Amino acid sequence: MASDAITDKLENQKRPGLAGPELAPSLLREDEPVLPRTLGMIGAALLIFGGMALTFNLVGWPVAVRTGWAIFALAVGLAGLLFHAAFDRDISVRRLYLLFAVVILAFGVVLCLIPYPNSMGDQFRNGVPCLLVALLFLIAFLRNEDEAFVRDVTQRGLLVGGGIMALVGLFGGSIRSDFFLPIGLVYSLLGLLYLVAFVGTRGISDDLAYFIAIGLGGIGLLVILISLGRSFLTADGSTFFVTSGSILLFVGLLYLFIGAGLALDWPLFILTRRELGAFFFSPIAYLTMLGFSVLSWFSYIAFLDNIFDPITPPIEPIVRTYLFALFPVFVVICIVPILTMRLLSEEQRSGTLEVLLTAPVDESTIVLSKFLAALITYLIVWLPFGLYLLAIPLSGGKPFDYRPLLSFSVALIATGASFVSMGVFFSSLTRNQIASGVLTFAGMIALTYIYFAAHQTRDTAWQTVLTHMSYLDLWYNTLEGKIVPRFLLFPLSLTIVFLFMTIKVLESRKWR
Amino acid sequence: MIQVENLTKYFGPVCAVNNVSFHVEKNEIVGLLGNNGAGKTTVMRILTTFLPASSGVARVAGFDVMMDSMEVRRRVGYLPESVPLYSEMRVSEYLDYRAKLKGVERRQRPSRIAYCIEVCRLQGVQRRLLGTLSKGYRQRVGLADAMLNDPPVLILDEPTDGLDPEQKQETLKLLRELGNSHTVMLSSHLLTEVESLVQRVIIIRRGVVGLARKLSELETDPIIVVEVRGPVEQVKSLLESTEGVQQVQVVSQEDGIVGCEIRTIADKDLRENISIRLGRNGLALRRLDLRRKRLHDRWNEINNTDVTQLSSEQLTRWGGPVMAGS
Repeated sequence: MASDAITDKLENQKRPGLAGPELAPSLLREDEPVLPRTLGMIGAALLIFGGMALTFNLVGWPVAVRTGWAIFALAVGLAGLLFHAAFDRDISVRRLYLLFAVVILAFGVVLCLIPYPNSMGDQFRNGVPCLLVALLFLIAFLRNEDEAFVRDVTQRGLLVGGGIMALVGLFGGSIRSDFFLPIGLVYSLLGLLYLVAFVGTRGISDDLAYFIAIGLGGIGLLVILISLGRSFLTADGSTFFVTSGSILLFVGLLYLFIGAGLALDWPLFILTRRELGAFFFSPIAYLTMLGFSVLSWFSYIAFLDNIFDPITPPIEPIVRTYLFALFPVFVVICIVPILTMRLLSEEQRSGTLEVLLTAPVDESTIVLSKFLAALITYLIVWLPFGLYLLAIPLSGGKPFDYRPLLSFSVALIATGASFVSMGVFFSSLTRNQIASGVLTFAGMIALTYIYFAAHQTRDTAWQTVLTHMSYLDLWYNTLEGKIVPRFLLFPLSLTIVFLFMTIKVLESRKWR
Repeated sequence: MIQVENLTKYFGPVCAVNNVSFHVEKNEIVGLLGNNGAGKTTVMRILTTFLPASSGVARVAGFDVMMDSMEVRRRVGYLPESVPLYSEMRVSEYLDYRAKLKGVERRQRPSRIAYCIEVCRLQGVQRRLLGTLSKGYRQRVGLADAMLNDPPVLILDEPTDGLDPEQKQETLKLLRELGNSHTVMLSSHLLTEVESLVQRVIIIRRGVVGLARKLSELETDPIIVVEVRGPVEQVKSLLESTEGVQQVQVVSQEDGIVGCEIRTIADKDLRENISIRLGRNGLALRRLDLRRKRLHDRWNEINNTDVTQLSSEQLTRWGGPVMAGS
């Protein structure tokens, strides 16, 4: 790179007696990315292994590794490579990953478009994962690329690709319901992700990115109007709303909210975006997601053994046995402290809290933004669980009742809010991350123990009280498809109390 | 622009800032000087609303730091001592984020950020991660951040700390330019560094203001410096007998050259008289100079005073032109 001498004038002068311009102040050399390289290597090995096993399985050659495990190896391998791509800034490495991403992208596009074996869209199911993986690698590449031109071209590629997918998905889906489910829906979501990546990597100060973000909100609004209009003004409105209208409405809302979240410069949104960025630019998010997907894989295997048990066939809702099990609970207990321990402790330890609190933002905005960002990450971490569920009809060949998942997601958000707010509170107490993590962990154990206490006590009054407090009971209820508002009361009030206390902890420096 | 009255701050039983009062006018560059642990950072943290005062009043840009803290924050650019930064962000990303947070309008943002990057000479590191920057660059990123929304008041805690001499000069030059249209308050524990820059000095020691005056008011009490070739006794007696001379102090004698410092009665310039007298007596004059009493001497006086021994009456007298012990 160019020299970093003290003044421009000195930089441009060829000073006699010196070999080159002075280089002080030195730029610190970055650490050798040893861990990313190791993980990348393991990832590459697993990718090749999984890819070969999958190919052999598809072709029909008998191999010991079956399709499920091949896909698992493939997924873990890709995660390792992605980790490497995200943290190795070396120019040859990052350009290699750009090439990798472009190849996968092209492969995905071809799969989505070729009319094989019968018509266009038959290979859609295989093409979409390729598009998603390519996006992840492109984001990792954009994070590391220094050359403005290459960045710009890549970003515009994201814009064009995302725009096409979003428009095809949304408006194709608005016109024809049979296209919207599932192809249009997937396209519109994937397009949204591409566009968010475009806006996110470019920054909202850029005019184009800003207008795209506004445009996302506008399209969302339009789609909401279309879906509502078709549902309530046309003759067959009620059938449209039930089949695809409601989902179209949901997608429209998603576009609207994400567009607004990206475009608006309210302090709460600015801080939340930075916080989310901090999550995904640090190894924590990748490692927790990797750990979570591995654990949920084992959970899924156990679940498959369970539901395909020929002696005692499962009864609906079968998703209950999937989510109401040892693994998910164990993972939640561990993951909440990992996600939240850093939030305010790190700011206090490094002193950035001082910079933050002397900028024109108040304490409640700061606390809320931390809370929101952690909650969003918590929900994203659950995604692998949901993705494996999509595979159940593939493995078993039979569709299952997905509706309990809708009520469960309400419970997941409510209980997640209470967990995360507890974590935020504990991280505000100490500047030591470990201490805050351990406190949160203890809190999670205590909240989990309420379930066992509720089921052990004989006193019915206590039992009623404890059942209302136990998040596991709430999960169990919602997984049966019931949403009982009074059970949501405890997690929500817990959230409010913890957030209030956190704000007071931050403000307390003014009382001392 | 900045008014501080009877500001006191206790950290538990420790009194970090004790009854500090001073004021700073608009577009003035003021140096807050003191040794490490004198209470400079605490005063600045109170002025930037990060910490509350235990008692006393501080106003910045006309707003009370306790009551109208948001208004103060909008008008102050603050560079904290150790320049804490988010290590996972890139320089341009960070400045963009800070500009948004400080409410720089979207249309002006790119040009404003580009301007700050240019004047702080960060062009070469825009895409670097903050965690990989050296101390000098971190300092400059912090300075660029403080300037982003073009606040009328800049409060900079040791802006030259960790920079090499050339960078220090550049930074001081930048601050001098900024001083034309901004009120700049900077702290330092190195007096010589900021002496040429600041228009007003506030010297604090152990939380007590030792001096808070404009430099232009300070530079009185001249000393005449002479170097003469000749015998010591003759030179000394000759100088002492000159009318208006109060005290002659021989500071050096080498190779037959005598160096003396002369203090005069009242504020008289005796240089011409001295040169005539020396010439008449056949003594060769090598140097004749009028030196103002420098800030440095004040600094030494303040830092050699044992604050704990002063009575409260004497403490309140501090800040006036007459120093305890001078």
